[in-house]
Amino acid sequence: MPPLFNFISLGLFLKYLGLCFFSVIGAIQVAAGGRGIEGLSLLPASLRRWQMPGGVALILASFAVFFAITPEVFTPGLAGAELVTLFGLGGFLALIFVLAIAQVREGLQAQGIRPDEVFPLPQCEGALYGLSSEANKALCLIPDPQEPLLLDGMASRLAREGFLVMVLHWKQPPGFEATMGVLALAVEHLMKDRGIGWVGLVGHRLGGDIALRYMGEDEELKTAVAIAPFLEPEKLEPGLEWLEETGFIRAWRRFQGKEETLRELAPLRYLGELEGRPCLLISQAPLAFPKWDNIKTVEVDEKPWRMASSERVTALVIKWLRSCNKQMRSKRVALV
Amino acid sequence: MDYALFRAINNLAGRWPLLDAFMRLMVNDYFVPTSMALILVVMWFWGRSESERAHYQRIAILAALSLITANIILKGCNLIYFRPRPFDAHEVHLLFYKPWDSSFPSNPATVGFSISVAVILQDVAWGIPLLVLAVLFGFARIFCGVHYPLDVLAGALLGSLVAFGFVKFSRRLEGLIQFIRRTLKKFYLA
Repeated sequence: MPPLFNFISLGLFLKYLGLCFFSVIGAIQVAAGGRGIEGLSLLPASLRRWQMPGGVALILASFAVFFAITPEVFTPGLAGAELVTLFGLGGFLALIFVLAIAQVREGLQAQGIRPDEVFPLPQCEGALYGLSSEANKALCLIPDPQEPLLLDGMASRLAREGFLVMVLHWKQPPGFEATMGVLALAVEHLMKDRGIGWVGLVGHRLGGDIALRYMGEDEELKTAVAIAPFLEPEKLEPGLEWLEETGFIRAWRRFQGKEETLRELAPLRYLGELEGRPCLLISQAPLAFPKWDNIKTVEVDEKPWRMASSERVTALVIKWLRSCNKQMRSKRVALV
Repeated sequence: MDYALFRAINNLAGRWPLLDAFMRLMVNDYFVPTSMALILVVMWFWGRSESERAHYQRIAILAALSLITANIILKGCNLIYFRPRPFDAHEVHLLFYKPWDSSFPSNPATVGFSISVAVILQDVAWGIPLLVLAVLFGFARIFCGVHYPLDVLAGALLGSLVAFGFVKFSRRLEGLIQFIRRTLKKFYLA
């Protein structure tokens, strides 16, 4: 019986495998550059404009080297099955390589802003910003439990606007009950220990869903802002879109446990129970749910995870909080 | 007529070194198939939204299925009918090695057209470069003396028909397409 595959020689096997490996890396860079897929990019964002031409150059160079060192090209060579097998193997190795490099590159990016004080909470820490100012309004910022440090930049900016801000730095993704418990303690600390009567919530991704749900639970809260919330567990599924903003491992971590928690949070069900208190939902794509007067939706052309550090989104949040404050004051004047 | 056309094309070989070099690049077993596969790889990751990704990935899957099916039918044809190569029967300008399998239908034309037609029927912009590559692949085989025009035409027809069938009846393959995408989605690759 003839062998299943005939790769002719080890040299030809390795040369064609090399061509496939490098040219597929080039092809992935073309796609990742053209579509801004962070998790498939070998280059950092600052060099992104070189990614597409670099990918094309890598493909051309791979072909040039292959034809230069492979005189067997013009002798009976690999048949269809061998070509497909080697392309598959080379492509697979290229994909693993690209995913690994993108992950390592991401790991090198350091981040960190020091809060003014840290308030201990179960399963998390409340990082406080804006303690130096005489704040009479406070915000509780709820990051996605898998990305507890993403909102610190926004927190520091909001503190400069005169808010006392507490960011919940989750130590591990909490369950539904624990999340509600932590929020109750955090809001209580801001209201009772710090003596602030005006408290609002700002949440990002799953934190946004948590904010909407908890707003329905606590009538004392004045407003909630949900940045890129998921809202519906049915629409949550893994896929390439999770790699658009981060490497493979971080994307995998971000997705973990979301569906179950979201099902329990059921934020859409609680949106109707806010009794006129204003809410802002910021998303990349239009959101589909029944219209309520107190709920404003804004579409921003930014990727959902990047919204946490987006200047534009931060400015929107500040504008919204100011308008809420004005409304509150005018209501008070009307009452007087 | 087949032979006359073959003569007319093959007689162009050996006159202009640059044209010969270009045809030798096109005729070999590596350049065109690998380039086509690379275009499909780019296409796979190209979608901006979920619906765009579903569109492109569906095309890539159908092109791959069309290629596999056309190749199986081609092997069947080769078992039934053997046509000698032009260089076996005539004096030709041979710019390539001497393949020993049946000349009819042309394997490269079948491969090229099964992929490019499957794509062009669903997305013209992505299909045009693939179709150009397929046409050049088939033409180069005649130019370099390893196929008759009728072999290439039959290969192109076979590849196109299989591709057309896959696109036409793609709804029946929806389950398979979704299964492939769902499986790859679990690895964040679709």
